[in-house]
Amino acid sequence: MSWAEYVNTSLVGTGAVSKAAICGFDGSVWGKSDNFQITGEEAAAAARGFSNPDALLGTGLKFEGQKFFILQVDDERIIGKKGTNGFFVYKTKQAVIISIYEDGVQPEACSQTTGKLADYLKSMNY
Amino acid sequence: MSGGVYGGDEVSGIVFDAGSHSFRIGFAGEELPNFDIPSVAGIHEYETNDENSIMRREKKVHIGTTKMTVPRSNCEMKNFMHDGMIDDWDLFEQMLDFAYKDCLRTESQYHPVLFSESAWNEKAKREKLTELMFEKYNVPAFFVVKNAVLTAFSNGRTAGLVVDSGATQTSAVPVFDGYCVTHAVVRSPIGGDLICEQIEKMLAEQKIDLVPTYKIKSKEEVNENEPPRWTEKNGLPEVTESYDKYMRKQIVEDLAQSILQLCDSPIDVESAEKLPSSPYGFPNGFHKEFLAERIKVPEGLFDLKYLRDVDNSTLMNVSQIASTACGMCDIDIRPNLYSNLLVTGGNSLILGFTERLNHDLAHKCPPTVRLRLSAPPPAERRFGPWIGGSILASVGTFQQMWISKTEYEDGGRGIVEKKCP
Repeated sequence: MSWAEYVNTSLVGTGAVSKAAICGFDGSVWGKSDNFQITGEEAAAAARGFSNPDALLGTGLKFEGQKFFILQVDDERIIGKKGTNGFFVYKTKQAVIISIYEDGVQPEACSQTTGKLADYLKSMNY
Repeated sequence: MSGGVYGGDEVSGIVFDAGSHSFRIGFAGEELPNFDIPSVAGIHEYETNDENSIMRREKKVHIGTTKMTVPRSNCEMKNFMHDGMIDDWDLFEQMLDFAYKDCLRTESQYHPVLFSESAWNEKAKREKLTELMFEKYNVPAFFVVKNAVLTAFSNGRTAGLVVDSGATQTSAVPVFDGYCVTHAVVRSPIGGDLICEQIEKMLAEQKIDLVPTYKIKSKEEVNENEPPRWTEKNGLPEVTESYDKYMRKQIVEDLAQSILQLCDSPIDVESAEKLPSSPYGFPNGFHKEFLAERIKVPEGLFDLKYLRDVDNSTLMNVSQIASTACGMCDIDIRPNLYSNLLVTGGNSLILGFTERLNHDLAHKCPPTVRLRLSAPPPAERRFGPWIGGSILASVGTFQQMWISKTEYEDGGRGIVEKKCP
């Protein structure tokens, strides 16, 4: 299964995630949904967030040029929000999964779906 | 998604809000918690002979004000909470058993359960709680929410800075869109317990003897400031130190509620002397008018130099706690926090607390920001998180958010981290 397929079937395909991408820690985008215009710099910033949470908190994270507030950062997850939209970033062993929810998608559902994929990837050593 | 609708009119959920001073329990949809039991329980160890006349050590746990305040020997008072988190799980389970059996008189498998937790609760503890509720109590659905978020909900908001002044500590938690901004939580161990300690010191200084109620058999009426005339009960068992301390604290808490007051601006000693005095009658018949003391003791919450015998170099006062928490948040949400300041917790019921916080913060926050502080009526402030939980658990759209038993069985205890923010 290619990375894009993971994104399309396990994340966006469930309806609980609006846009998603799986990226390496260096910011290289491994796979993303077609509607997600994420840049390498934005992906790298998200991955860096895990090693330096304090810096994130003051500045927020940008996706597609939009700034999101950071609500929580811990070892495996970043939560952010912008108005009614928001994102979850989950970290696995070699990658970060970025999921954005928009327009009435339940945040909890988005978190759960993304978390499930993260657990699966971790179990596959990715 | 989760199967079935759990709440609604048919079976209401149960809301638990565990605090360091008391444990609030009740059915969702009610205005106030049905039960408010002390978080402290008496653990009674004694020796008994079984049918073969062999000595055995038995342990009995006394929960609830009526049972635990009976004087017994070898009965230690113990709190199941520590630092705002559940710590003694054995005792906590006994508390839950008591809650289901003696308070709510219902069976746990019929009601979804909503728990509150502190913003700094650990992952291991919330997973343990989830496991306990599903495995031991067999609940059909479960959810845990940060108590600051619930307080915001009880005030009809989804964002704001929640200043919670409780028994063991005062904390400021920024809440944004129903999420706690956990990295910006600021807390300091000044709260109701500290105030009680300060009062005890003040009484000792004035050589006022604090006699707990369990010792008193009878008392006579005396005039103000005259030495009390009372007789001691005979045949009291030799109680433990922790029991005596607990019973003394009951009086101090009552005294604090009756006389303490905060000025709405920092005090100078002269004007404090001119303020009206407040009388208090002790259980042993002694009574006295309290003057400047009633202002000076709580002043310690806002000006640490009024605290006696406390190393205040590492402490923060209440207004510092609130402004630091705001300062740690993203700059774009700060104005929103300052204009939605919510005050909750039993310690905030000291007369003048909110006015004083408002005054001190007005000097600290940027001039362009509109500071608006809201403090609900006393009962709602005591039970803020519980009321929020009661509202949340009875809202229609929340019913699809519960962690159902099936989901727990599929996902294991780790599911709580994913579903509950």
